[in-house]
Amino acid sequence: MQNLFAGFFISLLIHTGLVLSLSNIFNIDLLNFQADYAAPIPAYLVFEQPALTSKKEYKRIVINDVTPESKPKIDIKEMVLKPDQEILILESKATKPNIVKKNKINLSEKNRILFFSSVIEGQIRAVWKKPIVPEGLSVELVLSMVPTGEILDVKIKRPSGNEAFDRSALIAVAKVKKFENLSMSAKLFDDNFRNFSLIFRP
Amino acid sequence: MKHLNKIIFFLLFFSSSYFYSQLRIEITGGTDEPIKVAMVPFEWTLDLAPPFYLHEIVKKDLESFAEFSVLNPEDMLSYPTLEEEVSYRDWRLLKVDYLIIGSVLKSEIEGEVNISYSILDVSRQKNVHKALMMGSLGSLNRIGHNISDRIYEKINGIPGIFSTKIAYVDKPVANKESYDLRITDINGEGDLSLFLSSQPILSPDWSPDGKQIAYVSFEEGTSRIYIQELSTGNRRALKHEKGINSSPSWSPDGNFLTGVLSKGGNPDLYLYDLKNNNWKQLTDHYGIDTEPDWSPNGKSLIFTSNRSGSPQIYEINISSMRVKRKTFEGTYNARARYLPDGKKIIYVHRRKGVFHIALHNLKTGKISILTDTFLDESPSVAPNGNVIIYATKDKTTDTDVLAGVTINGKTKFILPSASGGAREPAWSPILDKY
Repeated sequence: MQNLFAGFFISLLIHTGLVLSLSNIFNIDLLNFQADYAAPIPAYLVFEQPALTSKKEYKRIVINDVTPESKPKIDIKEMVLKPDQEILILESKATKPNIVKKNKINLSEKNRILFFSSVIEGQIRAVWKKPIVPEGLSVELVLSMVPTGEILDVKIKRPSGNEAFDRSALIAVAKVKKFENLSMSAKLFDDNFRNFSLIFRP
Repeated sequence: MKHLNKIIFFLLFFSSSYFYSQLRIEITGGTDEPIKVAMVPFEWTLDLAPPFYLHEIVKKDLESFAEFSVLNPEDMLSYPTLEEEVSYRDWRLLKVDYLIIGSVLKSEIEGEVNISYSILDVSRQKNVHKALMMGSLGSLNRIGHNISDRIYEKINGIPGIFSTKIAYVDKPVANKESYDLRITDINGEGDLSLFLSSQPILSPDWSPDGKQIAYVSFEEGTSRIYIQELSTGNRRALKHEKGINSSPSWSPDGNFLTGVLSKGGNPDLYLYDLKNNNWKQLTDHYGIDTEPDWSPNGKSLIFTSNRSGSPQIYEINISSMRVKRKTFEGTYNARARYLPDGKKIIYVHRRKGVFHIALHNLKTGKISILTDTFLDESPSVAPNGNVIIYATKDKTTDTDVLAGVTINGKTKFILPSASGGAREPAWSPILDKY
C-alpha cells in the first residue's frame, strides 16, 4: 500500500511539473528556440577582404539592433577574428527603429503586454460613451486583430443582459476600427493580441 | 490507482488551460461626452400643419438631464426619412452616435395618424429599433414623450421618464388661500389640480399602477388618509384611528398601505389591508416611528425613528419583524426612500447645520451628498432611479420650489412651478407603457 502511494505522489509531482511547464510558468519557450535555429542568419556579405599575408588582427563589428524578441541574443562585444575571416555586419531586421530604442529598456514580456494593453484600453476609453445602466454589469467582447492594429472581427463572448450596454461596447470598438501605436514583434502579437478579450464595466 | 492518476492528470491538464487563457483587457470608464443623437424632422404627409414637431419634443426631453446632445436640424447635411436614403458617412462626419428617422402618415381612420420611426446605430450602420405607432392627432404631444422614452431606453438601457408625472402639494401663498394637490409633467407642462382644501394636505404617494394617489388630508379637522382615483376623481377614506393618521406608502403589489398611527400613545408603523380595511401594527416602540417606504421587492420597509435619541433611518423586515439601524453618520437622517434597485436609499441628511439630500449605498455604506441647495426636504425618486426630485427654498425669490438632481449629482434643475408654494413632491411610476 505504501509503495502505491509513493508511486502516486511521484507521478503527481511529475504531472504537476509537466502541467506547470506546459502552462509556461517557467517561461520556457521551446517553440521560439527552435524557430530561431531554423531562421536564416540575418546577415549578408558587405565586402570581402582579400587574403592577407601579414598576421593582422581584425575586429568583428556587431550591431545589436536585433529586437529582443528574437533569440538568441547577441551581446555587444568585440571579438577578435582571424585575418582571413570576413567582416560581417549584422543588419537589423527591425522595421521600426523607434521601437527598437524603446525595447532597449528591455521590458519583460509581461510588461510589454501590459503596455500594449493600456494602449488599447486608452483608445477604447476615449470613444466609449457608456450609457446610464444599473451597476454591476459587464460585457466581454472577443476581438480578432491583424498586426496593423485593424480589427477584423468582434463578437460578444459574455453579454451583460442589458442590450444598450452591450451595444455601447460594440459601438466603441467599431469607432476605433484600427488601433494605433501597436508596433510590436510578430511573436508578441501572435501570442497575445491576435485574439483577445475586452471587458467593459460601467 | 492507475485511473485516479489519469483523472488527476486530466484535471490538472484542463486546469492548465486556465493559464493559457486569452488576454483580457478591462475597460472601466469611458468619456464623459454626452451621447450624440440626430433626429431628422419626421416626414409629415397630412394636409394640415403639425400641431407639434416631434423632433422638437424629443430634443427637449432627451437633453433634460444632459445625458444626450441632440443635433439641430440646421446642422444636418441631409434629411432622410427612410433607411435606404441614409448616407452613414455624413452622420459619422457630424460625430453622430444614433440617428433617428421616421414619418407621420395619414391614417384611414379620421383624426388618427400612423407614426413609424427607426433608431440607427451610425458607427455600425445598423438598425437598432424600429417601431410603428398609431394614435390620435390630439395626443401627438404624449406620443412625442413616449417616443423619447423608447429612444432613451434603447440607448441608455434604463426606462425613460418623460411620460411620468409628479404629484405635489401647493401650499397657500400670498394670493391663494387653499391647499392644492396637483400633478404635473416633469417638464412643468400639463399642471392640473386634483383636490383643493382649506386644511393641510400632506404626503401624496402613487399607487404602483399609477392610477390612484394616497394622501393625508386634515379636512375633517384631524389627519386622515384618503385614496383618490385619478381618472374619476373618486375619493375613498381609510379607516380612521384615534390620533395621528399619516405617511401612507403603497406596497409594490398594491394590496397594502403602510401608515403611521398614534393610537398606541406614540407614532408607530401600521399596515393597512386594502381589501379587508383594517390596520395591523408593525412596530411597537416608545420612540417615534414614521415616514415608511417599501423596498421594491416588498420584503422590507425603511422608516425614520428617534429611538436612539436622534432621527435615524431603520429597516424592518416584514416577515421576521427584525429592525436594523441603517444610518450612523450625523444627528439627523430622515425621510428615506429606496432606489428601484433596492440597494441604495436617499434621505434628508443634516451636515453642518444644513439639510441636504444624501445618497446612501446600503451595501458599501458610502454616503454622497447630492444637493447644494439648503433646507432640502422630502426627496422622491424617479421610477428609473436616475433622477431625484425634492422640495427646497429658492434663495433668490424666497419661494418654495421643486428641484431635481440626477443620481450622479451632475445635473441639477428647478421645476417650473406657478405659485411658489410647491412642497412634498411624489414621482409617479412609469405610466403610458404600451
